[in-house]
Amino acid sequence: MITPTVPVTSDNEAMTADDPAILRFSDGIIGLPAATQFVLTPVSPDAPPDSLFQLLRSVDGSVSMVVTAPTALFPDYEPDLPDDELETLGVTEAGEVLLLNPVTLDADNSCVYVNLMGPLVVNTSTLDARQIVLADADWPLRAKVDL
Amino acid sequence: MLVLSRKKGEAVVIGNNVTVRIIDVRGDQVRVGIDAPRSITVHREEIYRQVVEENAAAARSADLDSPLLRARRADD
Repeated sequence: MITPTVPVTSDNEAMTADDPAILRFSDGIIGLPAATQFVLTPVSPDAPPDSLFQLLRSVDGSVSMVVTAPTALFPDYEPDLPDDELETLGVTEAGEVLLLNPVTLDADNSCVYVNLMGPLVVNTSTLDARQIVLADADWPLRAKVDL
Repeated sequence: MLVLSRKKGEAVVIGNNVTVRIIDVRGDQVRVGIDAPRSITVHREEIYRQVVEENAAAARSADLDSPLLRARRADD
């Protein structure tokens, strides 16, 4: 079975590369330039459609970051998201949430690290999104992945 | 930087809707209680800095053309 890693669902056909839906990070992404509107795009023109990784790119083009939907690499990753954060996002049901986690390439290009401490959380109903820092849990900032 | 002395139980008010109160002082450890609107996120600084740096690294990685980033999901 292939786990979806981009928010493409049968009832939300807007979430495709051809017509990317805009994710709204009203508070921006922590430490990045003050962009608030982002789209998910392939990492490169020749990236496979079932790519593990995507780019989260600001609509104004000022910033991009590599992200992954974590389930494929970390099947047990089910972080407990604080209620007040979910409320800020307008999430009322667990199924409304999509997680994307920042990905960093190792300096010698031999592996990647996934930030499981600071997921980007998307309300899939409204496309409002924010980065939530799970300071009180034990999810690592840099979870190593050998590919 | 504004520097204030406060005793246990006292607080400072920042703007109209943030209150930082000294809850307890034991040795070199201070417990603070923060009342702020939901829209204001409170972070421990060292963790916040780590997330900033990791986000910056993920942004730099977006500019790298690595075959690793073209990896596919495992088809199990």
